[in-house]
Amino acid sequence: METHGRVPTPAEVSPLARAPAFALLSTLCAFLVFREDMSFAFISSAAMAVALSAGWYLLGAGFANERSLPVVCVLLLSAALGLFVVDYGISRSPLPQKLTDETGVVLSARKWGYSNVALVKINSRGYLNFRSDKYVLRDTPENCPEPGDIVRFSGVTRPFRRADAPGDFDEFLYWKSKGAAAYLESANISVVGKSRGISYFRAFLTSRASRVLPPLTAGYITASWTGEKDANLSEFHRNAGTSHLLAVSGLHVGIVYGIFCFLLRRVKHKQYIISALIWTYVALSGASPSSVRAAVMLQMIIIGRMIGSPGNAFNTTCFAGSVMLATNPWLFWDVGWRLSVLSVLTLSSLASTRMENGVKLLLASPAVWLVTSVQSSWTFGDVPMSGLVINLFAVPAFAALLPLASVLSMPSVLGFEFGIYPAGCAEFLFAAWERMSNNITFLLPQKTSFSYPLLVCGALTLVYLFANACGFSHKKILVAEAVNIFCLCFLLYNVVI
Amino acid sequence: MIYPSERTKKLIYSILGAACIAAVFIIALTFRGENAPRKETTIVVEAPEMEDMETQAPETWAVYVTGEVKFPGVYEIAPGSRVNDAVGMAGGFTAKADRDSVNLAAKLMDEAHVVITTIPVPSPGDVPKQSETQRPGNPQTRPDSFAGQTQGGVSYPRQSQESGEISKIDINTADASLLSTLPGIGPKLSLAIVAHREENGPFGSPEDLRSVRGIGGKRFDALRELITVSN
Repeated sequence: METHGRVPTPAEVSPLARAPAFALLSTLCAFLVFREDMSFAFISSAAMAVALSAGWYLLGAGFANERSLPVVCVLLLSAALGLFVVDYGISRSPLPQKLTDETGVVLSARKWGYSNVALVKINSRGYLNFRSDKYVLRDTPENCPEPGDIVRFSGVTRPFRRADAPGDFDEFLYWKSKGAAAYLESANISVVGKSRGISYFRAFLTSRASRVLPPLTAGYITASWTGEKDANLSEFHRNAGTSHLLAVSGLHVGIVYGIFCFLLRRVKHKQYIISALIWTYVALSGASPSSVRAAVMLQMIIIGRMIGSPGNAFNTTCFAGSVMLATNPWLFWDVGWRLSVLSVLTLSSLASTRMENGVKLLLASPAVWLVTSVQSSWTFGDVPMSGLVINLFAVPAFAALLPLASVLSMPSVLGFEFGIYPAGCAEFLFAAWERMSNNITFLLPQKTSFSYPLLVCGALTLVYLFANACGFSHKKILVAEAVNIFCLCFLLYNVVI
Repeated sequence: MIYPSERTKKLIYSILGAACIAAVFIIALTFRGENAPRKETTIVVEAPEMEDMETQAPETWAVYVTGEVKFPGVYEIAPGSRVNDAVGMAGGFTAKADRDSVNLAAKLMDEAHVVITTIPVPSPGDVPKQSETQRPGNPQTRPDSFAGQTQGGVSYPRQSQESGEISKIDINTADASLLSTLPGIGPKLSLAIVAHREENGPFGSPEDLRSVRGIGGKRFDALRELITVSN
C-alpha cells in the first residue's frame, strides 16, 4: 500500500488490510472442499471454512487493532453471502427426465473417447433456469454437430458419472464446471441451421484461418482468437510444458488490453470502450475460465484507476477468483481455473516480496512451475521439466509473437493475394520457436509425476508466498510454515497410513 | 486490571490462529469418512411437458443395454420406463440395428437386459424388401433400415421398384433428408452438402463431393456407386 513516505499504520500493513479478498477466496475454496469433497453439512462446512480463514489472519495478527473491525464485519457478511450463493450453486437442481423437440445452439464440441460430444445451450429454458439449460449431446463423430450449429432434438437426460477412485477422471465435475446439467442421450438430433451469433463468427474465423493460413500460424491464430486448439499444437505444447501459451489467458487478454490502450490513448472515456472490447474478445475466444479471470482482474484495475484506488494484483486476483466461484462454484474443480488462479497468485505474491526485480524475474517461472505442477501432475499424470527453462522466455517471446503474427496474418484472412508473404513470415517465426522449444525438450526430456515430496514442496512454496503477500513478518511466516508442515504430516498420515 | 501488552496480544492471536487452522484440519480429516456422501446423481423429476409420464419413484432401476445401440452399457432408469427409453439412453439404434426385432413399447424391469440384434445379412442375390428401400426422388418415404447401408461387409445399393436396377441419388437435386440416407452421411453432412451446393453451384461430377468438408476418400468410396450428378 502506498504510504507516501509516512510510517504505515498497523492496519495498513496488517494481512487483512493488504489482501481482504484472500479471506473471501480461501473461505469459499475451503467451503467447497468440505461441502462437496468431504460431504460435510452446510453449517459444519461453513464454520470450518470461516475458522480456517480467521485462523490465517489471526496467525498474521490481522485483528490486532480496532480499525480492523469494520473490515472484519464486511468480510464476514460477504463470506456469509458468498457461502449461501455457492451452496445454492452446487445444490442438485431438479432436471426433466426427458426433453422433447427442443432447439438449442452448440457452444462447443470435442472428441470424447470413440464418440464426439457437443455442449448445447437450450433456447427455451429462460434465464431463471440457467442451471439446467446446457446439456451434453453425445453422438458418433460423423453425426455430432459442430459449434455454431442450431440443433433440434429429443432425448432422455442421464446424470454424469462420478470418479470411481480419487485421482480418476470425474466426468461429473468436469461437465459441471462447464455449466452442463446432464447428458442428453438422444437418438434424434437434426441440424436445422447455423447460429448467427458469436459462435458462428468463431466457427467462420476458425475455418477461414485454417483455409488461408499456413498450418502453424493458423493453429496459433485460431487458438488465440477463437480459443479453438489444434490437436497437434496442443500435444506439442503439452510436451514442452507451455500449454498456457495456447490457452487464452492473462497473457492474451493483457496483450489485447495493451494494444487497445495504445490505440485509444487520445480517446476520451477510453476506459468504457476498452472494457467493452476486452469482454468482446473474451466472448469471441470462448470465455475460458482463465480469460474470464484475466478480464475480471483488468476490469477491477480499470475501475480502480477510475476511482483513484489502484489496489494490488494479489488482492485483485483473489477478488476475481471469488466472483467467478460465486457465479459458477463448479469452476473450483476446473483444472484451467485452478492453474490460472494459482499461477497469477504465485506471480503476484512473488512481486510483493522484497527481492531484487531481476531475482523475481528469474524465480517467476520455477515458482509457478513448482506450485502448479502438483495440480498438473495429479490431473495429467506428469509434467515436463523442460517447461522450467522454456517458460523463462516463452511469455515475453509470445507477448511479441502473437500480436505480430495477428497483424501479419490479417491480409491473408481478409483475402488479399499478397497476404501469403506476411503470413509466411509469421509461419517462419513460429517454426523457429517450435525448433528451439524442441531442442530444449530434447536436452531436458525428463518428466515428473505426482509424488508426496512434490506436494510438500508446492505447499511450502505456496504458503510462503501467500504469507508474504499478506504481509506476514518473517517470524509469522515461520509459524505459518510450521502449521503447514503439521497439517501436511497429518494429511499424509491419513492418506498413506 | 492488567492489560496484556501489544506484543503479548499478538502472540496470543498467533497461537490462536495456528491452533484454529490445525484444529480445522484435524476435525475435517478425522470426520470426513463419517458423513453421508452427497447424492452423486442428478435428481430426476418429471418435465412439465411430459404429463403423461408415470410418477417418478424415488429409486432407479439398472438396465443393461447391448447390441446394436450407439453406447452399450448399464444405465440407471426411472421405474416404469419402456424399452424405448433405455434405447434412447444408450444413444439410439446404430445403422445395423434390427428395429423390428424389439418391442419398443414393452415395459422394463429392474436388472433387465435389452439386446438389440443386428439385421440378418441376406444371402447373396437377395433383394432388400421394398418397404426397407429408399426410392430416390421420393423423400417422404425415408427408410428406417439398411437400404444403402453397409452390413457385414455387404453393401446394399438402392434399387428401383420397377426395374431392379441401381438407382442413384442425384446430389444436385436431392434435399438434405434424402442425402442423409446415404451411408456415412448424417444430418450434419447432408446439410453441409446442400450448403456447399447453394454456395458454389451444382456439382460438376460425383468426385466434386470430396470438396465438401467432412467427406474424405474412404467415405467418398462408399458413396461413389450410389450418387450421380445431373446437368
